[in-house]
Amino acid sequence: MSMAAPTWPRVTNMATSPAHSPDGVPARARPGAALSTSDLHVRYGEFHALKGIDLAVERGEFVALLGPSGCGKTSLLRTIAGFVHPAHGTVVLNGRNVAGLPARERNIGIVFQSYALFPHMTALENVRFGLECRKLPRGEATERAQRALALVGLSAMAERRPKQLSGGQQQRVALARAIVIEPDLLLLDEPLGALDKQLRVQMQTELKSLQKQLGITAVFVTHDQEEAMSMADRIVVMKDGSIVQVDTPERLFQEPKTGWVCDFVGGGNLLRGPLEPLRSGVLQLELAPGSVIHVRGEGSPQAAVQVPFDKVALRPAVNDGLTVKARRFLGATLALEIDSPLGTIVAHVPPEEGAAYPVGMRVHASADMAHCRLVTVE
Amino acid sequence: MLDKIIDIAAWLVVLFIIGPLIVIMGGSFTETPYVTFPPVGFTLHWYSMLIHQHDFMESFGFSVLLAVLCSLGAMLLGVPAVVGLHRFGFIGSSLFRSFLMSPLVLPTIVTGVALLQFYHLAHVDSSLAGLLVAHVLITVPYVIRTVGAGLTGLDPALEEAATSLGAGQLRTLLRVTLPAIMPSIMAALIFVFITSFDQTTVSLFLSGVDLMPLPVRIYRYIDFAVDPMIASISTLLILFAFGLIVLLQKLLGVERAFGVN
Amino acid sequence: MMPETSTLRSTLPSVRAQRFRPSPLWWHFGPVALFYLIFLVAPYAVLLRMSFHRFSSTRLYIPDFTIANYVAVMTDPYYVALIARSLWIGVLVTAICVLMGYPLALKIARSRPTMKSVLIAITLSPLLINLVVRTYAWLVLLGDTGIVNTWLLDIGLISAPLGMNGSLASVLIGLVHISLPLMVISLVGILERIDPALLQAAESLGATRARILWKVVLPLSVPGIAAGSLLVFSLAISAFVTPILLGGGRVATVSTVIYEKFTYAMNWPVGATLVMILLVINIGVMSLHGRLFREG
Repeated sequence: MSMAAPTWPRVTNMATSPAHSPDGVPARARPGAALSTSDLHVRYGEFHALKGIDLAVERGEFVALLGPSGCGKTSLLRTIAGFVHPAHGTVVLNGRNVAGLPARERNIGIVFQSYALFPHMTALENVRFGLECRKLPRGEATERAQRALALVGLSAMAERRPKQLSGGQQQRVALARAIVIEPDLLLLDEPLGALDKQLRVQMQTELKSLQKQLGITAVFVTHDQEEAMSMADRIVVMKDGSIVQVDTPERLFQEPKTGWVCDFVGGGNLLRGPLEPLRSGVLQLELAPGSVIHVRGEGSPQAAVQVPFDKVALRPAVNDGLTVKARRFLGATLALEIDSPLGTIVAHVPPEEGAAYPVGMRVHASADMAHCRLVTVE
Repeated sequence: MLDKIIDIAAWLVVLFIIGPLIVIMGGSFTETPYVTFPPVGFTLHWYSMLIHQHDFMESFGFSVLLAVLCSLGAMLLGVPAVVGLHRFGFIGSSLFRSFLMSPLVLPTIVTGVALLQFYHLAHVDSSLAGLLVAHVLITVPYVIRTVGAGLTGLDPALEEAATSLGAGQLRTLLRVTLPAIMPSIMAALIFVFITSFDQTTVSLFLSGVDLMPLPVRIYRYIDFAVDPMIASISTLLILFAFGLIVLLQKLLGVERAFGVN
Repeated sequence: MMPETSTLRSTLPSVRAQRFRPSPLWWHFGPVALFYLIFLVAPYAVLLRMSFHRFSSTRLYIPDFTIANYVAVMTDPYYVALIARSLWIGVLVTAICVLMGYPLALKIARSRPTMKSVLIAITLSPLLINLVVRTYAWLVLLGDTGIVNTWLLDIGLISAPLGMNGSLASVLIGLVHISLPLMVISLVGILERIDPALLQAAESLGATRARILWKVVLPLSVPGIAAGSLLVFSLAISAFVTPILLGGGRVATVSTVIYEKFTYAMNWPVGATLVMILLVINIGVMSLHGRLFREG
């Protein structure tokens, strides 16, 4: 890869199915990618779980697979791990096609949702297990396992069994066990799903800094968009067995490719209605007299306007305008639900400003054109 | 009111269940030549008499030997099978499981008769081998049931974790799967041991006069005498059973061990 | 090139490929299948075949293929009465077990964890105690010079010992004692699955305890009663040691007659015929149980 590589490694949707060289490595495998899959199909009987997944993850990158349940994210993870065998397609790990390789030979570290710690072994024995499989001398294996436990801050717990550890500690042991084998890739299946919220936030930070410190390539599955946003370098949004969008958290949030992505990541209001050209390259959408939204772009029947929740500007109206339907207190902000002919508009405002808008109040809503954009809806 | 009645009824039933056992245990200390409760006086005479009963001691040793060999045999046949059932689902695997469980469902008297006749026609006349085969046949289902329950309760991710760390099938089995279900395996061993040790019906058909397992020996004895010596040996067997129950409670909890729920 | 962040990569030996896969189906199932074929299927087949042979007082049996034994057993009033008596014993034992087991199961299901474990352990303990020992206990209790008679004589309730030993009553008592644990297991299993919210809902609607028991708990525990009953019934009709010892040779059941036919009477063909009849009844009962169990 040249020095002109993008600042963050890119996950690319490869347009075409790659040709295969005789040794099974796809001709178009990206030289720098730690992991790439191409045209991956998985079927469970009649059910088509993965429909041609093309994905490339660069070295040292932390990628989230995000989507609702049943979208195929777990199937993709399990296919990469080697527990599910694809009907078609390749999985290339550090330049070697592992699609035909059993899971045990792939050198992939996995943190399971249930942690899957061996209940009859101590923390240290759990961590050492993978090293024993690699026929490391016992002394060296123990030493490495101890180092890994120290890395996750659990040196003091080495002799404890999983049952004697808290959920957060079990999670760390599982992590230490997965990284001690120096895997080519780290897979995490809803790694923080079993923890309570406070601990989850703390672990998100720790997990990410550890991943960066080790420079390990990692892919994790989550259904929680906040978790994906806070940990991942880039997010792969999946739906119905296909990839919908691959982007950084910021871009995903600000420029969702489709209305569905916008809704799923909480990118804001999607307003769909008659778009009228105002002047060259600018369209306007009238919600009600006095409530007008402007957006740059060309009109199309599939277009909707994305207005982030916190960018909705409100002004008191007299007789006309829209009606405040409900108020929800979210802590730092207040969510106002406003009835409009195009559906409910949600506006996040500071609580002190929200005090001026009781339920039943008539308001005008608008938004700065700089924050609005056109999104394609299905 | 209703709750009170249920309570009293329940305690009466409990009394019905353990009353006879308490009577036997108490009666084993009586000085009278017949069992009575509460015991008259206190003596360990019947216990010391037991020690000098050569044939009872021999039968005890034979029963222990039989139960140990049977445990070994039932495990060797049952564990690979139940692991196989756990690992591969194949067409008819649930039918095959029912087949393996069938000796538990079939009346023991029928199994006893069938083997008696089979041995006769096949000219098998080794008491030990004949009994051992019968006991293994009757106890394999306990292994299938108890170890199978342990495997079903196992987190499938555990084996996947071992695989992802580089363990092969054999290492996964020996280092992860079997140790993780060790409580179930121990419970299965207890059931197998005690079922073999206590087995009466089949043993009655298959044991000769020379080698008699303990239950058969007791059966033959009480056919002509009901003296307190049998109460003393019964007491020992009852205490042994309660010891095993405590062990099962420690291993799995009695509810899981006996498959309540 | 990317910055060398992944310098950790492979100071470790890699996992060696596993060429040998030691787990074909036959390795798992071969020994046990062979064992069952030789020592279960073959003996049962021989037994089935035996029921079609002819009895001979000199040669054990004469090879034949006749249904004469079945005809004889089905028409001889002695055997018909024998089978009827065994079934009747099964019904009585089952009914008594339901009546005795239900209050205990209710009590267990309602108890707190520690009490529950103790009660379950007590209830199930007979399962681990030698059958002969348990039967012996009842011999001691119910004999003419036994404890029950002595007590009753002492308080003057009776003037002569009740001849319980060798009676149907003592066989029933012994069989109930053996079967009760199985019934209680089935009942507790189903009672614990009843959502407590249902009972609270009934109570909040003003139902009395009796009405809740009668209208909510009892109907919901019918599957448990059925499952337990089938288990107990099949155990009771094929029990052998208890009727022989407590019946004192005076209470004949199918099982005791089978024993007789195969040991001192040496009439194998008729014995085998009785076995087959017992077996058919048992398999019928147990497959019904299996079906109920799967649905429940």
